[in-house]
Amino acid sequence: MKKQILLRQEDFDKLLDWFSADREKAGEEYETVRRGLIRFFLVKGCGDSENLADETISRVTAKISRLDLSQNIKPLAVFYGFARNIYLEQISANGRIEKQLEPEIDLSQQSRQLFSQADEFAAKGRECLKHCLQNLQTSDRQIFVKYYCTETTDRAQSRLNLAKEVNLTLNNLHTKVCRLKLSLRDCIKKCLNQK
Amino acid sequence: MSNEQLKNYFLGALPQTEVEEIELRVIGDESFTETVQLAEDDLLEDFLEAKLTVSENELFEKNYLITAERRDNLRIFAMMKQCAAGLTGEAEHSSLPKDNEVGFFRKISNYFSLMSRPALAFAMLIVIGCVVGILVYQNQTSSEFATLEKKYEQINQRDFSDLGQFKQSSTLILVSGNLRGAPNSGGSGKVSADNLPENTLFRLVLPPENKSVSGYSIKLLKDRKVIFGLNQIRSHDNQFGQEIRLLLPAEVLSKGQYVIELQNQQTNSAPLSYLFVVQ
Repeated sequence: MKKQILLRQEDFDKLLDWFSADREKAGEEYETVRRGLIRFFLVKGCGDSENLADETISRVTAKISRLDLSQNIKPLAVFYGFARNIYLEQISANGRIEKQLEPEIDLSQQSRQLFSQADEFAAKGRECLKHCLQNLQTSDRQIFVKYYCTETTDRAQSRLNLAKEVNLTLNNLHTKVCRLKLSLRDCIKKCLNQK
Repeated sequence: MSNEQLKNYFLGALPQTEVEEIELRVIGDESFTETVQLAEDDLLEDFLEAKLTVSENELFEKNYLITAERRDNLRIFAMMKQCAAGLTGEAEHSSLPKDNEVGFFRKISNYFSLMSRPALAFAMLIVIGCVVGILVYQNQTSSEFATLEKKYEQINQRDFSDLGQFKQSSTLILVSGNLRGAPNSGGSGKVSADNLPENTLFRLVLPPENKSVSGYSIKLLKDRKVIFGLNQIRSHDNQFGQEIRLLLPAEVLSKGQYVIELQNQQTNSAPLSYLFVVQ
């Protein structure tokens, strides 16, 4: 999918000028857009979000001379358009790869293969999860455990109760758990790659 | 932006204009992204707890699980939830205050302040009446429940060692909820209500570290209601480890989402959930 894009200095200067006449502000704006694009690719479920964000910026930069920047076009909207195309290319490329890799075997054989892969993943994953949970502070681990261990029918109410227990607003509790989960997920992925 | 809209965003059930609105906000607003990620978490939990409708489930598999990253995330998320469930005991013994630690005198004073209000006392009488009604109803249904359990217990008392004897039955191999979403999993966990044979054999794959042979109990749930439960079930060896074999007659399977909860009573480990849909 990845195309080699040769960027010219004049195009990059033009991009920064588009962000702001002040180079420092333009640099900050560049970073803000990059972070926004990384978030976009993360929300879309793409693994390589940083590289895809850089790819988006490179493509916009390469085409900046052909873009009409005189009007009130918001940079975000332009970057979004390019990012969406890159996402669609990514999805269709992955779909092709998965199709090529799909073995022509009967269903029972396919199921067994799936189980052996999944079992292997789960066994390694559980080891990593235990290791990563131990890296959390005790209070954070307890909040995480209580948050996700709600076997009640009313998940919202039990989380409201937990927020009261730990003296947080519900929003702050959600945010805290969301960050804990992301850090755990990163830790597990790193751990799985090392195994 | 409501949670329902964000859920539909991930299910691919929103019009393009709303999709663009959400995605532009994600790029421009970091705090909004956290809201979106929370809605995604809720969706994953609903999926793992079989709380999605049949059509939502289809959209989830068709439109959400389209990248390897998301499938991996689902598996990791399921493991986190399962591990959290296994660690509940630890959290219960933590220093976090518990509901039952509210003072005794406070409870007494709450009780009397309630009784001093006639409207609330009347409401309590109605509640007591409802509870009595439910108990009478449960007494009636529990005898039907026992009959069902006895019938399915008999069906499952046969020897399952030789799989060849089930050639006439349809077979469904299920992996526990924490292993769902593995590559090429599309299609597993679904049976068609139109072509159900007299009995369907369910093969529930056990985790590789599993060592127990006997002492398993299962519960079959539909829409979070227990249909029946069986005890003293034993595991069987397969090529990759062990599995539980369970025979369910067609009469117990109507259209809807089911969960088979499996627990080993000897080891008292966290229950495993196996999901399937009758379409």
